[in-house]
Amino acid sequence: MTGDYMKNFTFRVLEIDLSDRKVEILELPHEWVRNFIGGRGLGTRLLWERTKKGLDPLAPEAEMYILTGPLTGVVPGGAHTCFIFKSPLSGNTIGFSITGAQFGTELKCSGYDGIVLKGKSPKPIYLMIKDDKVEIKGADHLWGMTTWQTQEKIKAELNDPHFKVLAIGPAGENLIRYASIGQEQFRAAARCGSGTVWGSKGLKAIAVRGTKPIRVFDPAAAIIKRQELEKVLLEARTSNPRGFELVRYGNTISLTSHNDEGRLVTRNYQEGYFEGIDEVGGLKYDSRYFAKSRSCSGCPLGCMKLGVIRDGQFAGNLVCPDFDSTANIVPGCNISDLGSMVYLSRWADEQGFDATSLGNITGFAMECYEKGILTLSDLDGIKLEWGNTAAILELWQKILKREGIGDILAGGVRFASQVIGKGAEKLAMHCKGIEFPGFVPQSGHKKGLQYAVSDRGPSHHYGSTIDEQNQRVWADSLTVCSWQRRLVNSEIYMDLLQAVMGWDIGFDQWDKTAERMLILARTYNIREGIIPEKDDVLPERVHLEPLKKGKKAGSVYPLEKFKADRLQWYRQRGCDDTGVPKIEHLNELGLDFAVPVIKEFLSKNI
Amino acid sequence: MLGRLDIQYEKCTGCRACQMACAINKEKQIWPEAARIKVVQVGKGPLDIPIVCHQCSDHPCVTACPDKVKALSYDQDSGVVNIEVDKCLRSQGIQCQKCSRACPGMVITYHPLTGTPLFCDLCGGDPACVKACGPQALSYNLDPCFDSKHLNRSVLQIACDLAVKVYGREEIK
Repeated sequence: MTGDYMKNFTFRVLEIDLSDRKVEILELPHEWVRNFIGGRGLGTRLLWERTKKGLDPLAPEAEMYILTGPLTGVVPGGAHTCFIFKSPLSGNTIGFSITGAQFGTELKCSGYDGIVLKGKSPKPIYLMIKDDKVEIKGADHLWGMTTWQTQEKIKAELNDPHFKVLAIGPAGENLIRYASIGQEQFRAAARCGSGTVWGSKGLKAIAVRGTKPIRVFDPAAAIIKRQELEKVLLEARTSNPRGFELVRYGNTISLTSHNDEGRLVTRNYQEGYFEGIDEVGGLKYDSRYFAKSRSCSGCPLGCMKLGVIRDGQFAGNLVCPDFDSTANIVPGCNISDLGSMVYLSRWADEQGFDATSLGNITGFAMECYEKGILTLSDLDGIKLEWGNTAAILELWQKILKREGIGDILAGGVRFASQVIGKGAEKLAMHCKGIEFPGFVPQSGHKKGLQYAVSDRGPSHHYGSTIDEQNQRVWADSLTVCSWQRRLVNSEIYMDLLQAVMGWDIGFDQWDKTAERMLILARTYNIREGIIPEKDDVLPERVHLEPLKKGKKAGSVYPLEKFKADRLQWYRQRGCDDTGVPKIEHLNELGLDFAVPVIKEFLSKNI
Repeated sequence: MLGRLDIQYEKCTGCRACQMACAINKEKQIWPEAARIKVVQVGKGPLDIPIVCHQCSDHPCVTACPDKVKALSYDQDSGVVNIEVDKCLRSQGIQCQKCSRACPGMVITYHPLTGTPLFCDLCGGDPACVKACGPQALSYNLDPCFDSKHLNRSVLQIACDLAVKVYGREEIK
């Protein structure tokens, strides 16, 4: 059985060199797949092995791995595609972002588990994959289009609406450092600058259409387990409170609960409580704009809430907000108008921005304006007052076109604050150059800790506790939706892996496998120049400026407590007291190939 | 007679669990493309529309199947269209599209491997797709007087009506 498995069941990925338009099929080493599972974990392994130390993230030699996991397409909600690359926003850390919808399943059905992108095309191109046929097509006519227009145009020109299309917008083309890759209008792999990497390679879009069955080691067993999981999710629609909430309202409902807890980003992380919440949170969206629910591949929940703006200046616009695309833009920039909230979030998707980073940077610029660090003339006359939607849209156009102040803000909040100076650095809420997402660390200390220690920079997707972190890295590697962690007993994934991949794997390997993936990412960052003790830090505001309003008024994340929490986390994860993975721990995890990097680091940093 | 597969289009979330369930039941594989039911988008934004044979009482596809071939037949007892795959010209590589062109709903799709048209047989009265549909867009209706007007239309018409229903307007920005 092992022999058969090794012959038939490694990951089969397309390797595409955009420089000389060469397409090859690559079978990944069995050991890598077995130890790193797929998606985020496997991508980390590839990034480690295949890219040279110190590479410019936007150089032609830089690579991006677009990977599904063993369970993608097989299980309900196993829809996710993971993008792994070196982040052009941080410059020296691993970047990954994830998108759901249908692309992953479609790619699986075309017979591939992933795509390796390398090289750089001299002219804009897009990639067409239809089962065994892979073509590189010209995209001059698509360059400049929004992500939505590109998707529609490609489906029309390939004469098949069933193509699933990933595309970048003008933000990616213009190498805005926090550009996203979008699909199905509203789904995006947004964080860390994934779209920027595509822009640098001249890649506008990937269209995929698959008509094959998904390759499974033991179809009968896989189907039984899959049906079991489907039943759990179907029941969760009504029996599980979180399931019900997602089905009924989607996750923008969380804006209100996080605000109640005093941890919702407000006016660039000055506060954790937003007074205008009643106009944008809770049931407001459901009762005013909601039109229809949408789902990712096979998922019976349907947590994406499509809507139409029915009043005000943006009436008639199709929208589909979620928590992450709205938190930084709305309370973060003090907007208390529902129509503006959902339109701004759509605008970011359409133009191919990471709405989280864009919102964070806008809040930063607004605070700079409020404090006189940025003047009216710096902003070319834009009155960037808190909550001014028209001013925000004007500013965003400038960022998109890289005009004036927009060119500076296009580099990310760390870059912009350094260029602007005059104390702006203290207002830049980032870690390792990646913008904070929707939670205020002053009141959510666990969130603060994960912002600091996360390998891809601040991201609440990294997980607050050791258990949650392990669960999330597994979810991103399998790939299944990370919401399932609250609805499904993870042990079923092991049974599914046995059936789908033919692996002899048990739940006892859960924690160790997760830690292997996380520690390799941490070691990769060290290889690329991160010094954990110096870089796993939070901006001064988090430690010094108490919140003034809401349930957590008065709270900060004191530096001593942060350092103690960080130290505890380092120790739990088998790192030394400065956050560097211990050599014996690397060996235990089977990461012996990474030991020389740590030895070199230690010899230089004593 | 079997019942009818009813669709409430505004409830469909486009997850394609029905396609998975159908292919699992019929092909024993995870193979959405081989499903008898398909979820499509035909414009008007992200509106997902399940398309499937609705067993028209006048079954024009059966009439359209060439006399010399007669791969399609209508089963009076169950009320479903059956196909004998071996007789179908498409199984011999001939690109006949007579049934598909005759279909008023434009719902006929082809098996990705054999190339022959796919017809829903309602799983003999216990449709797998219905059980997999979380949002309950699909249901199985046994009422002999079931009104199927909303189903027996072209997918383009369905999309236009659905846009008005869910968006409150035909054109969106």
